[in-house]
Amino acid sequence: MKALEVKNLKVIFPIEGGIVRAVEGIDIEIEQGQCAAIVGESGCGKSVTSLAVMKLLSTPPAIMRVDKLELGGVDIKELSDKQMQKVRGKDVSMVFQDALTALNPVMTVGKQIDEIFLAHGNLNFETAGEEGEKKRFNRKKEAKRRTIEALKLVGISDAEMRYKAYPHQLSGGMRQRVLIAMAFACNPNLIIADEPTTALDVTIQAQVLDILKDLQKKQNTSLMLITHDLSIVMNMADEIYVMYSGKIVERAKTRDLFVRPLHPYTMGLLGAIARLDDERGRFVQIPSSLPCPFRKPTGCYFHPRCQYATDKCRQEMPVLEQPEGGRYVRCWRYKEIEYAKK
Amino acid sequence: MKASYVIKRILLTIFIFFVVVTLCFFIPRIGVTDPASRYYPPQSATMTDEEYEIIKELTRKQYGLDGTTFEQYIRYMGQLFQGDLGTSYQSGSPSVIDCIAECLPWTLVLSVTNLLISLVIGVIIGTMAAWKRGRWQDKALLNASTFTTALPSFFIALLLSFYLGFEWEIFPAYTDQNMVSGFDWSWQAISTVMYNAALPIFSMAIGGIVSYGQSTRNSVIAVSGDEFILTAKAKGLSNNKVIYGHTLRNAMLPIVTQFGMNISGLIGGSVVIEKIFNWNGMGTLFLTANGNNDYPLMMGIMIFMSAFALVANLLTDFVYSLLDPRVTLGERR
Repeated sequence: MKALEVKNLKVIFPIEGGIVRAVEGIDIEIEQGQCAAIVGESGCGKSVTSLAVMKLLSTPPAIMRVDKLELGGVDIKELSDKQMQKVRGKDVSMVFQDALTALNPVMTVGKQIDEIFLAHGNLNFETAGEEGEKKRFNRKKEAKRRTIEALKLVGISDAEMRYKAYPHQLSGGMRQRVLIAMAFACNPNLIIADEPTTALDVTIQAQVLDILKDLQKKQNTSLMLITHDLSIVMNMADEIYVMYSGKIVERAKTRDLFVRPLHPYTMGLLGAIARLDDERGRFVQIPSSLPCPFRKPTGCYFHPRCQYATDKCRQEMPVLEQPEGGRYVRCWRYKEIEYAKK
Repeated sequence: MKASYVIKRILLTIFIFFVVVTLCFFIPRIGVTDPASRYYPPQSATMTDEEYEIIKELTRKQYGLDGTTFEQYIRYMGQLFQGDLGTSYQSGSPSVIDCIAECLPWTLVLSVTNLLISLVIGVIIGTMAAWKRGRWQDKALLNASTFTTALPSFFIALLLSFYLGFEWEIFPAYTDQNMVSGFDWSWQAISTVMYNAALPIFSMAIGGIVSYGQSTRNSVIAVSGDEFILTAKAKGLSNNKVIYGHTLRNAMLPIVTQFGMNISGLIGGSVVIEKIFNWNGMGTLFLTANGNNDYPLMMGIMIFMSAFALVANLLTDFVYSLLDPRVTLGERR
């Protein structure tokens, strides 16, 4: 069963004197229990994609079109906002980038997790914990008990005490754990993690990623990891989607992508990873930056930055080709480039 | 909230209060020739200059204006310390505290009602405008705000007094003075007060409602764009939970500050409005005192107003720290 299936997702934002095509027809499939990473620079449409999957884009101004949007085999394409409220937090949840801004500053973190259980937790007499708890059953108490459990699950010590803490009283790593606890609270099918470690320093990053991976494996949750950092993807993801200017330019199993990248953009990204065994001395940069979203170039969007670009690349958008099973690449010249490299 | 900080804040407030009292004392006495001069009896033909000087000295003593300004200041502070604001120069020499006590309730009727109406209606309108951002409700509020900012409340008061009061005679344009003297807490008396207070309150509340509305609207829109609202939605909370539990709770913080500032203006904020509608409150009392060079009364009113404002500010700070856990009073980060 697929945890998530998206077909031909398009998101545009009308602006004064034109439109911004943030996402231009992308397909995503995530098998149950797998982790797929969407990798790309800032502004390439990663976050918009994640919000679109949650149906959290505010429309208007955004306009969203999709051919197929299924969560765990259930079609959510036509669901109203009210119906989506039952899905969000329960079947699909989200971990945001900056936990300080993603948590309500004037509410204790405990209460913020309670809310999920109170909204979806199916808190009834039968599900209450021990015998003693059952006697004085109370929805709020039960929510609190589960929240403390959830906090313990993400490795927060003194969970009872942290329950009463406000976000600003916790460290950055602790706050991110709270967000993760929140996302896993109702044991959803799919968790979308939008740059979950970008706001953290490197040592904390590793801890938080471990927790995320651990919980994902334990609860057989599927994970959609949105990031610009290929190095964290290496250990986390089963499959990688490389996104550029609103389009998927390459899709491959993690190992294949790292060993044998096909798209020049992917090669560029891999060249920019810091490695301990690096003997080149300096990183290889991809020149220039992402095209302006409302004046995208003709042909392949990557051609102005691509050292292999030809006239055909400048005029025609390449199609997403499938060179082998489970691999996709959007480049006119990937075969020649690969041949030349050998 | 740390106790040491609270004590420090209170001590500071008391210090500021004394600075205010000192300024209140000296400023009216700068450049005035002799404040007692208008109370001297005329010099009769039979009186020698020497005798007249004695009469003048007696008069100064009677009004507490004898000795140097500094001696007067020491004397005044001593009295103030015992809770005595002196006696007014009005006929019958009523004590200043009695004068204030008589007028204060009438001002509070206007200003408290005005503040509550402004707050409640303003917050409701502002939330609605934010909710319907860019539609006619929002635009109406914006236009109203341009209008009321450009038109001061006394001008609105004049318009209302002229049209609703004189031309169409819906509400009294002038306060009926019997309302004050004959007030006996009967339903009849209360409804008379409400009837008379309608125009003054309304002319102040128009600006207040719009001002609260506009700040609520801006604050709600700013908070709606915050990421924790997205988190709340991603948790699958209902719209009501998102609005009341997350958006409004945070959006109200700047409104509390505004409310606190308005509380400090409760006593002195309606001087001109009171004058226009002949309302027998603190503003009228102050203007009368000013016209009569009634120093003790003027000072008493100013001291009372500033003490009220200082206490209101102090309380606002403390209340704010209770509402926003990030504000930890007195702790260094």
